[in-house]
Amino acid sequence: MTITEINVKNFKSLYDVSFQPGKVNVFIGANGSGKSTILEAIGILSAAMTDRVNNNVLQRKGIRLSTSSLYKSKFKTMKREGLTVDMGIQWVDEEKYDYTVHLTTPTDDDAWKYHSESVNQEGNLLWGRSNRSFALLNHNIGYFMVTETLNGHRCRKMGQYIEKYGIYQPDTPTLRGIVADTTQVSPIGLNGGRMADALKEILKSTDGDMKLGTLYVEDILDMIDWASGFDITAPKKANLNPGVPSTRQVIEFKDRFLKANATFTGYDASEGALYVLFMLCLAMHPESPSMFAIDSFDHALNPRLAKRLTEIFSQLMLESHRTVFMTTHNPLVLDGLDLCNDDIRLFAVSRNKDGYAVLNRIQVSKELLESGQPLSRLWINGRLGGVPELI
Amino acid sequence: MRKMIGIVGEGPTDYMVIKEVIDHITGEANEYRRLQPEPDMAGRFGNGWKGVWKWCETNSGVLDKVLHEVTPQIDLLVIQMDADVSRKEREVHCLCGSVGCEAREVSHPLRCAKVTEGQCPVILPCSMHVQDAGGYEEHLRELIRQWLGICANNEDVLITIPCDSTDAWIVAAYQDCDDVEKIENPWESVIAR
Repeated sequence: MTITEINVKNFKSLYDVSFQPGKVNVFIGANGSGKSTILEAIGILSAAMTDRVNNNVLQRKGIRLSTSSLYKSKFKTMKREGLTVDMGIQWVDEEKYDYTVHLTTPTDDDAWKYHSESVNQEGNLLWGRSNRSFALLNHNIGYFMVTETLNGHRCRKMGQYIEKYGIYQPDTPTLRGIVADTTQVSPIGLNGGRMADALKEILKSTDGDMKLGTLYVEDILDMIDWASGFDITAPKKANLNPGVPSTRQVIEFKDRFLKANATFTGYDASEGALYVLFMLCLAMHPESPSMFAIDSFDHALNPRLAKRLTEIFSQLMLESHRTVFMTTHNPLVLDGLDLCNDDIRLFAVSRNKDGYAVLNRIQVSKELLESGQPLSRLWINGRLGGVPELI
Repeated sequence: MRKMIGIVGEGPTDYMVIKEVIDHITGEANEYRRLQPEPDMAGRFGNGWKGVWKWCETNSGVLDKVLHEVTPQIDLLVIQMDADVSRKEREVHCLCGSVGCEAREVSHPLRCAKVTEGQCPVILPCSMHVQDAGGYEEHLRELIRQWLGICANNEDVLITIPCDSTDAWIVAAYQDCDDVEKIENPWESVIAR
């Protein structure tokens, strides 16, 4: 199953945007260019296709709640404001499918209403609904996953693929366990509040070697210079000051420069180590969504570490047939992307003269990359776009 | 048809003005990339005329690849440098050979100690060029071609040398005179009056 196109109309700065994603999709752009809005649009599409769109669902997916009028594009140059927010996804699963939904933003409550919804197979309508349908339908609920017409149909697989989509945004206090995760979704929490539990679930001893998911712990520790090991335990006096608030389980680290009994938890560890473990856990946990987003992938990572983690993370995404959409401001993340692999795609987001977000897929020849012009340099020098123009 | 246009210019104001001029001339909302060199460790050569020089030299061997082997491709590269650089800056006359200098063979003009120490022997105005707006423009145009390693008929690159500087073109809007583009040093001869 391959997603071939996602399109968004009339949603915030995305007045009319479509793009062809791969499995690993990285968005770069100046602050305020619309990168996070793209992640949110995909979240709304996922909610609309598989459930419903309201505040509760949006929050569970990590989407910022706006006032109703601000969900729709409001550019000065628009002659008429669009009535609906329109989204669509196309995919190939032996045959070509497309799903389209037109939603009206909330008026009297927090529910987005379905103006119309349809799914096509090879261009022929499989099922659809609109305000003019005779059937008595609840306009607050999406019917793609529940209508009897599509029961057992292959097209439902896409719904299952994207239904758990969420925007992950790990933050340091949550990873340290001192602040509750506002969105404690399984398996790891959108901010990382369940990380210790999630790590424990995939930390295994195999033939005397410790493995986290499919990776040897020893290989992971190569990325965390100072650590000689980690485990998941209950917090105790020896590793955490009793005055510090804590989760039920904590990550216990050993430092290769310290004596063996000097263990400490994520509360005292370098934040970079916590972000590395978060990304790897998200990539390898069997209950992680098939499709998800990460806002600011590079947060708190040293540039070299960001590059290495990008390489490993991308590889894990491809091996597990997952799809990820992520944003970054770190040029070295780009150097970790193998753009010669068509499943790994880079997009520059910018605003046009009138402020509308524009997406460009960036492709670079292998010859140019090998001639001393890595992606990081091409980005910093402005060649890729996705930079503030006047700085 | 909309084009993707790369602009290597001295600063953000030049970039904004050039964008607007090109859109006005072509009647299109073209897409632009502002291309800039990385500054060195001391924060130098990341912008201004020295930045343009550095960008041209850094990209001379890979210019075709930089323009055409990244998608979206760049249809046209605009290089801008103010003509007053020829009138005011000794470094750009280093290779003209109007005076002898032992440092010429060993130092890059942008990093030459003689310049920073105020010992550069170049005499301005340089005797190797015609001393008017057209002369300054021709000098810099040829110099930029040398830096980029391109010939005069290269259709991918448009070199634009505003006289005396991009900002000075405000004169054209307020001064009702002939041959406005040929007024030398408009800051003093027109604007300051």
